[in-house]
Amino acid sequence: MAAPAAVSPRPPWEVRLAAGIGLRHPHVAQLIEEPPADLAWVEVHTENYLVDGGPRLRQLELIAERYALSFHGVGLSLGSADEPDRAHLARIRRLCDRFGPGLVSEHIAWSVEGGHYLNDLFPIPYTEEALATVARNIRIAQDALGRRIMVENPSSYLRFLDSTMAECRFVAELAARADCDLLLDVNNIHVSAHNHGFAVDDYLAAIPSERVGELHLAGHARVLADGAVLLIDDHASAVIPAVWALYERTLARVGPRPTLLEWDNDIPPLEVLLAERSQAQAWLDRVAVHARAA
Amino acid sequence: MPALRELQARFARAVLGGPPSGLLDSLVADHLPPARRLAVYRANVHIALLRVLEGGFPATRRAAGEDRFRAAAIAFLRASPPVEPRLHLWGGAFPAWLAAHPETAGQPWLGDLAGLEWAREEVYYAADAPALVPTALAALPQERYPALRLRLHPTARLLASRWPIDALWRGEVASPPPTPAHVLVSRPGMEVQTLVLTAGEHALLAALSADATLADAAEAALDAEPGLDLTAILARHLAAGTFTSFG
Repeated sequence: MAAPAAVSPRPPWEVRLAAGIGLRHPHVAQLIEEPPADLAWVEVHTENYLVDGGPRLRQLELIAERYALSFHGVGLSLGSADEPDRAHLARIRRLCDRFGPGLVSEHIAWSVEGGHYLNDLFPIPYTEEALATVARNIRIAQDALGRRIMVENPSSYLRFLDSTMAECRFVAELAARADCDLLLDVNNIHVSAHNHGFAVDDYLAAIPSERVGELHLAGHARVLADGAVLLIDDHASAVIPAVWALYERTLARVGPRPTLLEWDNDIPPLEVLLAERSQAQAWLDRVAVHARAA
Repeated sequence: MPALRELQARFARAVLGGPPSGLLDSLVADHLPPARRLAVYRANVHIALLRVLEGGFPATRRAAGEDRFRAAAIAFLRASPPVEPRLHLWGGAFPAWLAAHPETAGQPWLGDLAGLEWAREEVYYAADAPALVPTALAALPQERYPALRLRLHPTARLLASRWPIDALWRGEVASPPPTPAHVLVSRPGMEVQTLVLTAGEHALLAALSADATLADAAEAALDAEPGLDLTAILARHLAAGTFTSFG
């Protein structure tokens, strides 16, 4: 069967100063039929589109005709002791070749063990062994995909005793060793800082700004566990004021970057998500004006 | 401290519901006990995988009832977690699991109902292929019909059950007596079709999918259902896009 004509990819610079939204199924029809004028790009979970055919791919074609795309993977398991699955990488490569996403990212986490995919993002110990392993895995992924990728700082609920370095140092060192870029999730910094008691400004200070290619914003939940408050990164509510404030500080430090609003559970009407996007866009515009004036 | 590989093996066992042996000692204990922190991941994994099964098997969930479905689904996801990140490929073994699960013994149709929903899932994500246009056979001389081999559309799935799985799927019956049902699931375009078949119609399509000639398939169909109107059946399936080509 002949491959369908490739959708002409929009160059990544088009999303440089724009805030986008995560594409979720309840919003797809509306985004295809009535594209909001100020929405430049959307992010999809790559694995949702690794299908042979059918309505999902058809919808992505229609979305790609209207918006620039970002592919955000959840299945490469770059934090696994094992190397990433070459067949899975090849499928992602084919999807990238077909749709030409401006941004491609994955996570500093693992989800595959012993041949099973557990559909969550698990934490890794911040050790030399893990650093070498994840850097190797990112290099394998970048070679297979033929491009640099961004990897996202994790949110987590536990720490390993044998960690020998702070998470922010691990993330910065990883990016240097793998020669990859970073997707800085501002909500994840807030969540992990609360759960593990580190200072968000120390974290930001350790991140190499020049490697940050995208920012994420999302909501989280506060859960009472054994009398203590644990923050859960559930992407099921609006961004809270403290995370907006941290976003402002992040922009001031790393400069304007394409920013994504993620809302994956208890998904609200599209208008609610677009209003959050506009708020992020307003911050981006202010920083961009400031950067030009400087 | 265990090496990364061993640590991850222990972690994976624990989050699937196994004992956290040898793992809790590797976790930082602060104001919140490590077991409580680990429980967040176990709940996340169970809920994330449960949602996948709920999404793929809505009619089975409704028929089983919330508690029974959840119990069966969690037992299944612990025993047969996904083997790769394309989650739409996970769940094919769930119908057989349901059929064998003691919790669902009082509803012996659940396995076959889940089988119908799984067929719809597979067909939804299958590769696109053209359907034979209804007029494709019009120009063909009648004498060629007996030797004709009609190929079913590659998405076509034929199902047969002792239970009325089509009525169960539509939610029309809750606790039915055994009533044989035959169903064709296919996707000639972008819409998944679920067609109820007669026994003879099912036999005809099953024979054609096994590469029988139209004459041999017609014989099988008439064996299964004497008096079957073959012309009407053929017209129905040409109109529905059941075939992809002929030779």
